[in-house]
Amino acid sequence: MSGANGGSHERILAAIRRELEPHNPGNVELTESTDILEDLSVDSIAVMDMVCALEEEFDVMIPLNTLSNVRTIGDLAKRVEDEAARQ
Amino acid sequence: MTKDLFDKFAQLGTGVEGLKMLGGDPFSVTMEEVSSPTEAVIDGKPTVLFGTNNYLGLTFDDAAQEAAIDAVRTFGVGTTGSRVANGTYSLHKKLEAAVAAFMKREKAMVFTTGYQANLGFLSGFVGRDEYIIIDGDSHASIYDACKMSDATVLRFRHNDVGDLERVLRKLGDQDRNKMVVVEGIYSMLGDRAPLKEIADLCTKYNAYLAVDEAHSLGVLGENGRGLAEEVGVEDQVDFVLGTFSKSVATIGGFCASNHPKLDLLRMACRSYLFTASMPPPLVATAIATLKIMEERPELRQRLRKNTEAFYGGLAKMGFSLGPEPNPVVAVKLPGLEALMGAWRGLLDRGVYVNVALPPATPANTYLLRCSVCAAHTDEQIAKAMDAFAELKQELSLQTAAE
Ligand SMILES: Cc1ncc(COP(=O)(O)O)c(C=O)c1O
Repeated sequence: MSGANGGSHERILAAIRRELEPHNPGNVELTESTDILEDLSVDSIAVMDMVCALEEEFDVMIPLNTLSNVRTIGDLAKRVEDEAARQ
Repeated sequence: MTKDLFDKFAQLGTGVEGLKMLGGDPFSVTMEEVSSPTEAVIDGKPTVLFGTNNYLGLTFDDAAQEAAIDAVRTFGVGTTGSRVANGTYSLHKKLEAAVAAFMKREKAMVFTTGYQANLGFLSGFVGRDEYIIIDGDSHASIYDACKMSDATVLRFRHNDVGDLERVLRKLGDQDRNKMVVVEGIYSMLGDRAPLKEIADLCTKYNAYLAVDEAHSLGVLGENGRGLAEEVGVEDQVDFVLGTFSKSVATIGGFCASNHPKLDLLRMACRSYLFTASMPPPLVATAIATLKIMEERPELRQRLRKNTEAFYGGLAKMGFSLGPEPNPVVAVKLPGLEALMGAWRGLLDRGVYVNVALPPATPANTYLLRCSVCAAHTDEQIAKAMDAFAELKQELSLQTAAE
């Protein structure tokens, strides 16, 4: 399963982990089921910065209004993948 | 077992308790008396105000007060109805004409607050199969509008023209309307949008451009029309949004445009339709203060001079500030404790400023948000400078890492 620009699931997960690392002072293990807002010290502005970085890296658009159901790292990876596949 | 609805706010509660321990709750300051645009009594103590958004200092203007009182006598204290029912008085029409004339636009539409202007305009106007493209540091009213809108919402990094182009390029030339939204002066850091470059991108990629001139109205531009006037791109700005709650010294909001069909929005913006209109004294105040803004450009010059003294003074002391001198002056502090200590220290010295914390600011950004007023005297600015200088010594504040 890879999008137009080769955003494989693993590559996307790795990018999300990399973006989240600075917001993980407690060294929580970053798995697909980690809740981005609840388990980490990430605020909504940081989430949006991360989204911008992912958009750039995988050349996709992730509208803000499609993020309301995204809670976990896995959810976010799936969003990026879906957009990559669609665009 | 029912849960308490308030449980989810537990963190907010401990947050406020924590602030109180660090110097008092900055979010429940009470002005016991207010005697001028720049002076109030707080905790029983005379205090100079450097956190008001009252850029031109018109809240106590004689003509504005007379106009408000006169309107109360003539039209009463409230309208008790929507603009589209019983809430349009001749005064509201007069204000709309005054706004259009001031902004040099064909048409203007007045909302009850600036928040509602942004909310109604964006959510009512841009809808399904259209795009709203916003700056990441947009005001809450713009974010809320995006939540309410059926449009697809995209975001670019704050003031990053390259990132905006990435978004516009990605959308390509698909046959869908795009509306880019930026602010003249950003309310937290006091920085301006790179509006010339943004306007050129909107022209190049065929996107509409709306500018919220909330903090730049009456402040920037030779005639006070805001950043678009200052940088000479007014004819590339399709819609100007603004508020009367800052330079205009009362409350209310507007959208102004040359678009011949602007009036159709009166039937499409829910925050225009489903709320009562501005009360007569406030409408009369806005008409009066807009007139003063037109007739007394020296207020803007005085504001600029005060801004330079205030921003320049703090810069000289080595404080880490927003990137450019504008009447919103953000002083960055390294953390919550330093921020609260500084805020309390200023208040104890009779100087009031605002506090801005995450999530209203980006992560790890702790700001004393100051605002400069044309009515500040040299003595008041000197008093603030002394207070900041003492603080700097006392707390040996480190400037926040960028
Ligand atoms: C950028 C911006 N837009 C809109 C508003 C809303 O204005 P009002 O106070 O009239 O609701 C504000 C002020 O809070 C603001 O800072």
